[in-house]
Amino acid sequence: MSTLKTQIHDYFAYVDEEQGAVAIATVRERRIGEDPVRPIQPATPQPHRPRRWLIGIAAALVVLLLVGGVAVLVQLVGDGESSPVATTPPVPRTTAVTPQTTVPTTPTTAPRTTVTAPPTTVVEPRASVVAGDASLTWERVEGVPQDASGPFFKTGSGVGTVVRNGPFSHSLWASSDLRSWVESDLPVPTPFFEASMLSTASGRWLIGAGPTELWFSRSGESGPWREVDLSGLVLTVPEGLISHPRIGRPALIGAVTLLPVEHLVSIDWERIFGVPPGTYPVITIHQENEFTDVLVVTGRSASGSIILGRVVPRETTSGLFLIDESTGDELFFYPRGIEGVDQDMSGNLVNGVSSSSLHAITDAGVRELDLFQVARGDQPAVRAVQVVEYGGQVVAIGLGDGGVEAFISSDGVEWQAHPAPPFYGDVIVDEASGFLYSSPISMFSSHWVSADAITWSMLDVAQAGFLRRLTSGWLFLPVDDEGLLTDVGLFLVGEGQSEIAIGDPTGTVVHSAVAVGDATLLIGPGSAWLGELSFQP
Amino acid sequence: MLSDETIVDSFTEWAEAAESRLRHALTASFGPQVGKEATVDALAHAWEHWERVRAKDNPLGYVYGIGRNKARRLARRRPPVFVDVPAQRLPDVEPGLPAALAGLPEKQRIVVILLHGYEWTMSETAELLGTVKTTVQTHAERGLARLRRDLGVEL
Repeated sequence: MSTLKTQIHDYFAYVDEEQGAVAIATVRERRIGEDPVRPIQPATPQPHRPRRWLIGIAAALVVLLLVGGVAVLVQLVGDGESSPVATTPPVPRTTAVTPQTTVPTTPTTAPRTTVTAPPTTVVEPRASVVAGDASLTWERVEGVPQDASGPFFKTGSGVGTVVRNGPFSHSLWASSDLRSWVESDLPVPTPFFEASMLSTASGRWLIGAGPTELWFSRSGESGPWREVDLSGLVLTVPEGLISHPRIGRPALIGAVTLLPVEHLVSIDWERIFGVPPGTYPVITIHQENEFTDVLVVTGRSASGSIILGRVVPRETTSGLFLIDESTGDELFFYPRGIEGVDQDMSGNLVNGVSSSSLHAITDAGVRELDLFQVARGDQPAVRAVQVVEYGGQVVAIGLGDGGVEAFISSDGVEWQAHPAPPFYGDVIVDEASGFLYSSPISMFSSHWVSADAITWSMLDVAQAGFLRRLTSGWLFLPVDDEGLLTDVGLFLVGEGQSEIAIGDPTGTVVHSAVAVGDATLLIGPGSAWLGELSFQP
Repeated sequence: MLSDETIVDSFTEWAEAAESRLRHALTASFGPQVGKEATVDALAHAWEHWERVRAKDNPLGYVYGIGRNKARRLARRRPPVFVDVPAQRLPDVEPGLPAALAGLPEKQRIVVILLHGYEWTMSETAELLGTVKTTVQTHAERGLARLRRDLGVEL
């Protein structure tokens, strides 16, 4: 067998041969999308082709004018009395044309020190997909784990979820197409296990099994399962909080020498905040007098509080405290939510600290990013930062003195400011579907999605009391407050937003849902629906 | 104002030189099929906006960015797909190599493929990615290490 490098070289020689070169002459004659045939002289300005949304708006205006005119005419003729003729005909459901607040798509290149809060701009109504461009077709499917309540997790080949079979028994269900599901046993029959304790990391699954066990499977559904050594893990569950160990992507835990739990008592758990759920839940706490550097591996409960921690003195951190089992190079970024553990030292400095290696989280390997400028004062405001890794880049969104600020980096070292989203709230990478989603803290009924963490779109979800998010080519299916699927969903393509008729499962109570590719599976009590999103040319 | 012929010639000269590099870069990111389609779209975009593109400091990097946007739409968030290893090469190439490549983090995959699949230099790869050679080196080492682990090979 050749060396790996030789194999790669040989393989891509074959790929190159099969792929063939692009003929430049054909490129010059090629159409792009709906554009007219490109002229030979590209410098010649071409008249803009009327946009479809303009045509739609114009048509709608004409219809409204006609209807209005008829109504006025009828009213005049009828001497002001209402008439059946004057009834406004139902307006066909068209695309959402509400102007969307958005941010420019081009990141700023100015250094962070010169960043000012970027203005949000109201842009023209977005180009939309007219009804009929995309459609949903549904069929009822059998063999789906009916008790699956989620969350679903992305695996190497599809998605999986955990289903409780009884008080002491759970099983894993996995599927690559949402149609065929394979059940396998979990290795840890424990009454403490909850589906919500299952976390995922770069395609791996980490199973949290109560306060004393943590099981891990790299490949998810196929195992093998390994028990993580938790000896020394300080499981600190502050009073009143729900145990919910979410171990972040890099956090497989090795055996280390730990300080006793007593050292944690001085930590004001309520003051630790800003840890993005399921992403990089690590906080560094300095307490110079007792130990020069300690590390607390944390999770965050649904209520936003730290509930799982461990303390590692610096002298033990030379390659032991965290073991990056699989990826090796995952950018490790965590917000420093608080600096100092006693009241005199505590501030509200919220900075990012990154390292390219888990093994390098020492003074030498950690870099203070100091992205968010927060002045220390006698009455410092509460600050927070969200950090998500998405599409090969890391996006940090936080509150600084200048308001909401955002920075983006591809390597954790070089950062660029870019226009902040016009909101602040939890930014979540949906693990099952892989898009960014946010429900701002302070904005009523607004939901935002992004494909790149730069351009955010506000979903128009006024027609539903609660949005249960899904993606299948950016499909969002709202349910009402009772969990009933409403009749109109939202469909995003490009920068457009359109309504889409949902069809068959309308009115079905939806307990859980997941999407893979263009397929969306809705699971309700006693029934499951598989929807395929299709596009018209 | 340049003549039509000059514009055609300058674009053709640039495109013929850039085509393979652009296609290789996009293939590394998105796989052969999407990579090639995105290459065509990106070059077409470059042609349509040639006056602007040619004025860029790094036209290839700019067009690569265009190609990535095109590819993202084409791929619709699906992972890259690399063709199976042909039977005649199986004795020398691990059959799991395409899947292992697809499973790499994107930057590792790009770097590994460009360096070892298409024989780019560190500098060329760093320039394309807008980073420094040490970062490229790091991605390459980690990508290869992960491939070796996933494929169970030591060499």
